Amino acid sequence: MKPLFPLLLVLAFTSCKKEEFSPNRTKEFSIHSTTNGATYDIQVGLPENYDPQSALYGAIYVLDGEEIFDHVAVNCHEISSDNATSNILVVGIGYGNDRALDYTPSAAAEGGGGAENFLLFIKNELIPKMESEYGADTLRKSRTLLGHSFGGLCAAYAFTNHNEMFENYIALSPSLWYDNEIVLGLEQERRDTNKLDHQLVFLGMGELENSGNMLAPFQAFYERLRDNYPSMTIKRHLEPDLGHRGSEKPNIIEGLKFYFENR
Amino acid sequence: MKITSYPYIGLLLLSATASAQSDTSGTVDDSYPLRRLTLEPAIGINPYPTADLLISGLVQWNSSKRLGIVSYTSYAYNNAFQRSSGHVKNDYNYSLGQKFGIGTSRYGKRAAHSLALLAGVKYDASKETLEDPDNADVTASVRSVGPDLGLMYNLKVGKQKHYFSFRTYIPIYPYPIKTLDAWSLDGNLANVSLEFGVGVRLK
Repeated sequence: MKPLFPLLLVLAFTSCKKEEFSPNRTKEFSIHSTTNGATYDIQVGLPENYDPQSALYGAIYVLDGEEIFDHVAVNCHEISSDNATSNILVVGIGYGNDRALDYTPSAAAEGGGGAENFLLFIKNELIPKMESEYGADTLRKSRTLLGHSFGGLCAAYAFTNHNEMFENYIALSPSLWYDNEIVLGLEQERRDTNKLDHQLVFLGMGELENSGNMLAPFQAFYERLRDNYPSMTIKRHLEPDLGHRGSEKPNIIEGLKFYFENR
Repeated sequence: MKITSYPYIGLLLLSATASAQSDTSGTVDDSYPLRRLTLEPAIGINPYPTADLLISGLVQWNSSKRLGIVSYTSYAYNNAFQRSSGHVKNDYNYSLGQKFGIGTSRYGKRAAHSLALLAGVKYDASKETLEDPDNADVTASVRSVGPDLGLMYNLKVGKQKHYFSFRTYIPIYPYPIKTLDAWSLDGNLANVSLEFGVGVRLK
């Protein structure tokens, strides 16, 4: 029995090696933002048979890109193949500033409130570059934003205050408790402007995220979108047996399946 | 919100191992009594990510000095010191667990060290209400039953009928049983317990 234990340990740790998207289909560049002064490392996952001269591509913009770009790109490839549908550009956005600055909509104890400038950087600098150099489609319906935790909060803020940028949102474990649930107030303020737009929204979190402030704002956001946006297709998903961080990757897969099946 | 404290679980394992070795010769000390049946109530915490208060009871039947079977029951009052946040009121938030397992013991002159592999179920229930001054309240609840597996180290100090018991539980679920995604370790960490109590020899 004794020799088995180290073997099992080795197997356990080698089997959790990092996912890696094909290096041959990954492009990288840095972009300095004139909006907020930060420099962002960008990774772009290209679809199979990529040919920007003859085709336009949808694009998914991934927050926390340094951590989850490969997971999103690998699963976009697999899910689009399974659904026999065209794949999209996966745009991983690295950290130009602290995520607690870039992903939060207002200055509060937990964050700096830089989401407005961060989204303007995406809108005015990153998206135009993707469209002019990588063949990204210019239509709103072709753009998706994906974020987790503070990134999910940022996606929810983009939905309320920059709804013209993205038609599709994958907001995972969004920190909607932030600053006394400020995004819920913004949703109400902007509802009349946004409610007739067509949009796909996936809201996911871990079933065991029982930190005491995640669940009720999440449910309130879901119910408001479900009840007040007639042109919206929305799904709410709780990943069983997993917490805040553990649910992130399974929920990314669920969100991408929802996107590819409903876009 | 990102987790950076995965080494914490390693430190816990290390401390448990070190304390086990400090008083153990690796052989059975004949002067230490064999307790056939013991009951060990305890209080403790799940320290991560915010402290849960824990009440637990452990019953151990030793068929021999080396081998025993264990029943472990626990109730956790989750987020004991952070029940409300912003407009979110916590209505209830608790976990109940029942596990059974098999373990082995080693003995020093004044202490016994037990290590058991436990498996069972955990029931989690939480309910929150968003009290929005401008809108109707929104209530959300989760009730979940899931597997719970892990290792429990138990240090029993004292040779009399009553003794002290310190124990720590290291879950091996969801990582690596449900998933090999290392990010799921936050689920394991949330279920780590540190407990202190007294033991009573019943037989």
